[in-house]
Amino acid sequence: MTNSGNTSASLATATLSPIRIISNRLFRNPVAVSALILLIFLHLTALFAPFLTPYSPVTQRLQDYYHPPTKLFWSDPGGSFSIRPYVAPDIPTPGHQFILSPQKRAPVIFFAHGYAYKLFGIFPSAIHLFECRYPINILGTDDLGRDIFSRLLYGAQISLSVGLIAIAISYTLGLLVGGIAGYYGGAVDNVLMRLCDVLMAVPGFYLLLALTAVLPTSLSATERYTLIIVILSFVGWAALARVIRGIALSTRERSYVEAAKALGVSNLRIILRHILPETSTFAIVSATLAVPGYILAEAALSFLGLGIREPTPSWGNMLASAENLEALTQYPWILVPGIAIFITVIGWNVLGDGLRDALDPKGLR
Amino acid sequence: MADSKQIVLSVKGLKTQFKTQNGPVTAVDGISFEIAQGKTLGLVGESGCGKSVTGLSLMRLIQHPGFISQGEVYLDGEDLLKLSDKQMRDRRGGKIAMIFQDPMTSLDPLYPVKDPLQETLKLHRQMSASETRPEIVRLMQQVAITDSEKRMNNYPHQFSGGMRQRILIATALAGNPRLLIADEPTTALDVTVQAQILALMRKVQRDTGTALLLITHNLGVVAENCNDVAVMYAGNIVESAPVGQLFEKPLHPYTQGLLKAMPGEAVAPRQPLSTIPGSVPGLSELPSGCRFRNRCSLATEICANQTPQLKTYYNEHLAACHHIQIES
Repeated sequence: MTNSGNTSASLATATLSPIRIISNRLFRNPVAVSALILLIFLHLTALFAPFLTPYSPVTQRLQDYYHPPTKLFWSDPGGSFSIRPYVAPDIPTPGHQFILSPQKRAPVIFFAHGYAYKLFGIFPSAIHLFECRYPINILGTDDLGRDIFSRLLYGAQISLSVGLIAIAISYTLGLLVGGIAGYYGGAVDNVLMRLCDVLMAVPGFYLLLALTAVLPTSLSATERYTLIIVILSFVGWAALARVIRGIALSTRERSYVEAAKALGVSNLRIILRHILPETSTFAIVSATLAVPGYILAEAALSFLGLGIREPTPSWGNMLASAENLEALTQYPWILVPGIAIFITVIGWNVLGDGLRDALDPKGLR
Repeated sequence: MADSKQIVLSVKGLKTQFKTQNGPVTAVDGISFEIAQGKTLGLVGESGCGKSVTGLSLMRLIQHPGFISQGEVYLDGEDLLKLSDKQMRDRRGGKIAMIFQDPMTSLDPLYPVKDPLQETLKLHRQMSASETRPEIVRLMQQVAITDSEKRMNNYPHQFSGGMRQRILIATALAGNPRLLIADEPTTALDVTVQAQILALMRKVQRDTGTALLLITHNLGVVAENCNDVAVMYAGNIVESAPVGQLFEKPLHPYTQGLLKAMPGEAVAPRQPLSTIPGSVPGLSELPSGCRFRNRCSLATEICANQTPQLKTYYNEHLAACHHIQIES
């Protein structure tokens, strides 16, 4: 929406588009902005996971299972202070204990060559943010000696994108079905809404379990990931469609809708341009607030072993190894994915709240 | 307007009904009228007499539970009621356009005012987005909006009611309509703005030669703007005549009552205005015979037994009443 951007003070015709007004209001809310920055940061780390991680998520060092987070030394072997951290190797010992030999410490090398990868699946590279001659596990290792930091970032690719893609699918579906049901009314409305009722009458999590349980085990990780997103979206759209339908029912009585009909505008175009935008405030806020639900659902499924399968990491299946009390008390660093989920969910919720305030027309001046 | 008799719209026996729990009620009961090119027909009547339903029926915008049960609507010889939904959609906004009552709510607040204009030009004149710009400017100038280059990007809330109605008129004109239906275009506006809008519509009609169906309950508006008048009562046309004749020699008792009820010079100061006793009967409880008889001072037995038909009395002056005496 271009505005004339004129500077003539005499005519009060300078026009701010609704999007500008809303973003201005959002950016004045420090809490929401922090949440937004946090989320952008999280998604960027997921996107650049191959570059940021020193190990591939599936590399195992079986002898180093449940290795505690690597201690970083901020001084060289001579003892003088160094900005570049040093890492010391473990002294080989029998049994499961890790004793460092600090005098052998080696520097962390930044932008070093490591395992080969393709950034965004396109650009081949082998450069990593940091590498070291000795094992460096800044968040420790899991039960198979895999680097938790690397798995956390690769897991974020799955856990974060599940929420976004599932929202995109279920909201497209929910908006269209709700818009069509509300706009046409009558029999169309009845059929579509009873379908929603049926979907909503089945307890959501059991439906999820049932649907994922029938997935064949032979599926590749990617196929499984795709299908889980589809299943999550399939369960999620009905409640939204009901609300959208309610808004559409009242919007279609507006005289601008009748005016659009009198201009010969097609029904689909009226739904897309005049009915659905009326629901955007609700849809944006509820979508933002629904993302954590999908992230949690994926985590729950993966935790139960029905979602993303090992060895592909996701925050949910990483947490699965934290389910026994012994592991939890002795190796608390394996809870890190839980903290990541916690932060992400809080971030989305805070952002959703901020958006709701920004979109509230009562404060729109 | 070489041939003033070129009929643009011809309505024959149009009947629009609404389904209710107690069976269908008839909102428009078999009305017929014609409008010639460049002419204006005023459709007047009280609230609920079927004026707006008539307008919407011509556009085929009657919504469920309403439906058109009978009749023919010829626009340039083509029966609109026989077209498919898609064909009808092509006509709407193109050959037949409508201006609605309330300019405050007829523009979507989410889009700049140029949006409906652009939409119409794209839909009905096959223009690309870039071609529409000069035409939008021209249309906005035609309805006397100055600075239209800038104003077209403004949003509806930045326009006054009169300005918005101008936008709606410009939108209706954008498709070069043969027939323009204006459903109480000035009811929601100030009196001064009303006069401007009506003057504008007269000018626009002169410029474009479109036929106009002006739906209103304001007899003053009719007197100033119309060539012909049709008076509706409870779904029927009870009288139709050229405008001068109707105001000079109203034949139907209802029309006479309406005209008497207008404040004018004939009314003495501080005297109550004359009114028509009673109120319009509900559509589901219409009296037998003449629908006006319960409120009519001339009513006799025949009015209850026989429905009066429209008859021609003078040249082009029709009325439906059993008790019309013509002094010749």
